[in-house]
Amino acid sequence: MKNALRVLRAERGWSQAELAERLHVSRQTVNAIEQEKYDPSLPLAFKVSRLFARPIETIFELAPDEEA
Amino acid sequence: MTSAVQRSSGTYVLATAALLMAVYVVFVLVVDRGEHLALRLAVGLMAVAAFGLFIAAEVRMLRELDEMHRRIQLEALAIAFPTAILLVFTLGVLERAGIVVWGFQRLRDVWPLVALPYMIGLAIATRRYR
Repeated sequence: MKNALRVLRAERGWSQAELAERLHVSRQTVNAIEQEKYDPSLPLAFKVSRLFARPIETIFELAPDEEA
Repeated sequence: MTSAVQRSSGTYVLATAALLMAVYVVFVLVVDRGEHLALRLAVGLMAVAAFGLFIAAEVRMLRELDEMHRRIQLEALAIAFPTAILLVFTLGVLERAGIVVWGFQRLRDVWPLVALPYMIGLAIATRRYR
């Protein structure tokens, strides 16, 4: 899954550790999501959506090869 | 879950693992010295209890992990469990065939080896999300 987490985090000037703290996950998890190596669960994706006050589909989208 | 909490849980796991190994070494020494049965049994049961503490520490650590690290643990165990069975199976096959692998002549010698596939599985799963 593709995501805009790195861009959104950079816009706010947060480090990965700061974002991790706000989401109650580890910095490694934030890094893995940003690198698109790990897809967050739905609850975590909603937390991200609320934190950045943006609809979930504007932050996460399926990669072309994931489309059914 | 914070890194500090994770570190604290990790320390608890390492401490219980160290306790387990220390008690087990004492147990082996007590057995080797031919001490009284009651003492051998008491120290042996202490080793079992130490293993129980280690498992409790592991479970506590797992509950404090975030979702990605739980996934990593699941993948590590999914690799480790069948691999550990394969290891024990292989040793059993070799034993039945009449080939004794040095250091693993008896079932009681095999248990430390079973931790190895978990370590390998953990390394593989961690690398995937790094």
